[in-house]
Amino acid sequence: MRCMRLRLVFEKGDPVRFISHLDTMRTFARAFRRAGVPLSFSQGFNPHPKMSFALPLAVGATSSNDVLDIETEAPVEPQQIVVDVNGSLPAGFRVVSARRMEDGGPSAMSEVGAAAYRSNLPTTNSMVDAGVVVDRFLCSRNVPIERRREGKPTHTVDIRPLVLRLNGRGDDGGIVFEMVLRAGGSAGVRPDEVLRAIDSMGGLWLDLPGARYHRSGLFRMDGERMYPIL
Amino acid sequence: MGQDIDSMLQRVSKPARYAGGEWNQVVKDHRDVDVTFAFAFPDVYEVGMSHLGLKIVYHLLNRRQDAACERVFAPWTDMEDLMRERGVSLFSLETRTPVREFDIVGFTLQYEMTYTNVLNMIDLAGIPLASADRGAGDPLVIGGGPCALNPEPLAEVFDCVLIGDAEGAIDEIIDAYRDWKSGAGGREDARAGMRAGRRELLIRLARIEGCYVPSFYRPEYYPDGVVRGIEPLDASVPERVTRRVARNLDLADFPLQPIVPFIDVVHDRAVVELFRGCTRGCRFCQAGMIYRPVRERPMADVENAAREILRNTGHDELSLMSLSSTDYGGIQDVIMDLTRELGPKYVNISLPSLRADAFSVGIAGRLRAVRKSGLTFAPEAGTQRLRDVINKQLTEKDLFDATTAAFEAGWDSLKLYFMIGLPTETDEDIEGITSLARQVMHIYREVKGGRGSRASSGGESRGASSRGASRGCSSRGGPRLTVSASSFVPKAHTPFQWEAQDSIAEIERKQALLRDRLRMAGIRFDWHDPGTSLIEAVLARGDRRLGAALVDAWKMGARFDSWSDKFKVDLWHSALRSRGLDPAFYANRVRPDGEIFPWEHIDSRLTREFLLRERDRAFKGVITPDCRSGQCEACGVCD
Repeated sequence: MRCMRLRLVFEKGDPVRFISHLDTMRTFARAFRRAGVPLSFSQGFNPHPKMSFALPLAVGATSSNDVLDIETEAPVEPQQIVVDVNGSLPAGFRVVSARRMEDGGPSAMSEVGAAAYRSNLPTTNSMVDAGVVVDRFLCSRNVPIERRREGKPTHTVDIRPLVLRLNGRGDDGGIVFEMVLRAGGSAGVRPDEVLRAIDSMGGLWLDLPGARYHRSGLFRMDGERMYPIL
Repeated sequence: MGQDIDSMLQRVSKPARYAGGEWNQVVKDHRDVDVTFAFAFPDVYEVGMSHLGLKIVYHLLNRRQDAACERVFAPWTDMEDLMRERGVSLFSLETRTPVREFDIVGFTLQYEMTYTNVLNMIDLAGIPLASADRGAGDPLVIGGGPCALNPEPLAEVFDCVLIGDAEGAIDEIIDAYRDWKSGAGGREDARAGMRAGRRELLIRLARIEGCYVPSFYRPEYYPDGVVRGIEPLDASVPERVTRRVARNLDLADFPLQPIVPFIDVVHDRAVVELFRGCTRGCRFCQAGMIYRPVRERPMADVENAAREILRNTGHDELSLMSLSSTDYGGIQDVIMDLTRELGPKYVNISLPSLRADAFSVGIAGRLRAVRKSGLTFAPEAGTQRLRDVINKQLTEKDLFDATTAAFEAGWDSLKLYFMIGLPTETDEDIEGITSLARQVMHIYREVKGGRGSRASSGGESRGASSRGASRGCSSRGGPRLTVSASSFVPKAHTPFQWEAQDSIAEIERKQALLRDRLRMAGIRFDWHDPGTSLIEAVLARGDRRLGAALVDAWKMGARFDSWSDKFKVDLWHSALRSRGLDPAFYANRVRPDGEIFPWEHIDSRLTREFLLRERDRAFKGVITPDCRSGQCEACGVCD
């Protein structure tokens, strides 16, 4: 038998947006089992399927152009995998494509350097145009935020260099933000952190708990250039 | 519908608890069915979705063309707060239909400490709490499960209670409801005519074997609170309601396409029931009494079910369930067949309960899933004398053989489960627990010959249990021994139903004694909160008068009483006091042989003579062998 590496592009839609990253991994593992996809397993005391997601997604968010690498213990037909797995996934998840990857190539997880997000916020009591505050954010030399991690002291991070693109506009009584953020590896910023920073600049009165997030793409960075991971 | 549920889910912890949409959930258009049923589990999703009864009832109902069953769980307090703030009523997971719009709402009663959640869910659904106050447009509210064997504290809440197995009975309930509804004309007519016709519906239900309609019975009390008698109020209902028993467990009634939860639930695995019932005859054990007789599923059914469920769910663990799985006739063959078949597919097999003997350890040795999680044995009592009293037919030698075998097979993590406060217990029995623990540690050192072993990350934790823990200084390389002592709660329909529970002070004294004696390297000691055990005991053998106190406790904020961080004992005491009820009357009193119990009209099929005989043998320290070994003890179940 020959192992095969495959890259799957998938979507996580509205019906499953409250499913956590861990739940998503479990859901895919079970769907592969039901679909009869012969995943390879790690060796050892507690074998687990060889499956790795490019970048975790926060609870409540949806995604498209999301990426998952798997390894099978026998050759499979990528197009057939798409059909079979879609027949075994709960509504809301959908595999869009699968393609064979060369052995020994980099994993999607190791490649990710940036991610694109869109965020919709419900009606606010904005006194100013979203674009004005966004400009203020982009013109700031640095935008420090505080990060709390359980059991560790709070520390301050400058997120300005981690925000690659940002724009915001009013839309149907709410506001839509679009952003491209550094992600993966050692330095990244989450979209809710960016919105919190924008909100603290004043004037917009964002309803942060009501924010909806969609991640629309993952990118590999080559210097300043971005290439989609697909 | 029309409730903005998504925006609430954005703001609560673990929103997937309320979102539904899992693989194998069943969604039907309510216009296509005659009867809609909301299966209500009075605890959080993670607990409810681990429960086999839910899977069985969901399957029994949804396989019917004319019925739709959906699930609802107790919302956690953050969700409840938000629902009340926004005026959102309790809704089902599958279609987000308000629970009050279902025809029938069925609660499962697995544990007394979930009763306030039952009240809270009925209230959140916008349904009147009291059966007597329900009328046109309100669903029929029914209950079932092991606690239904003494439903009296909730008698004024439930319209009907199913005593015993759901197989067969639940279909008859749906049939009766459908016939009653269609008899009144169309669906809307039935709704409109419900108040007038509700009594007719209850009469129909009361004719079904195992169906108890509390409003047709009236208990009378002596001035001291003891029941004088329980009188049927209608000539057409039986004097005693007999527990429903499914004589044959048909594979067709078993859920082969269970829902696969997204989130990590307490027992996240495929489940096949090997058999129902247990005739080991432990005298404290309610399950061992109220699920009799033993009904084994044929081996072929077990294996087919296992294959089918794994194919339909994609689970990587299979649990072979029962009250005592190594007692299953074909256990060795089933495990051999299934490990051979499933091992290469990376599927683990687990057994929920292991007897403390070398045979069981030998079987467990073949199961990686058990190996991963550590072994649990339940000697229940610390001395042979007390084990004879409770009819736990387990000798010290059995236990030591089992632990030796376990250590030899490589286990480092072991849990011993005991009960304190059992009838006739003395401090010698408490000392017996510590001496068993010490000897187990000694066996470990003998087996390992002083060699250190790899540190294992064994041990388990359950968030939901109400208990404390203490630990001696950590051992490096030694065994990890957890000694867990729960407090005895006398239960209805057991040989110990006449017995008293220890007072809180006495339980605390014994716990302190154990804590003190078990302060040893490598030993962790777990105990249960005595206040919780007291309220559990009050409800377990309580009467109808407790209903008002239960409602008071709920109104004062009691919720999730089985969760140690939510349980507030003071509030229960003041609720009981305000209704003139004394917890000691229910929990700490030896009841005379002739006393009429609040559950006297519930016939578990065990004769009073058998239970009394067993009680008397307990006090003489005489054991009663398992009837499967040939000697019939005339418990009454097979008559």
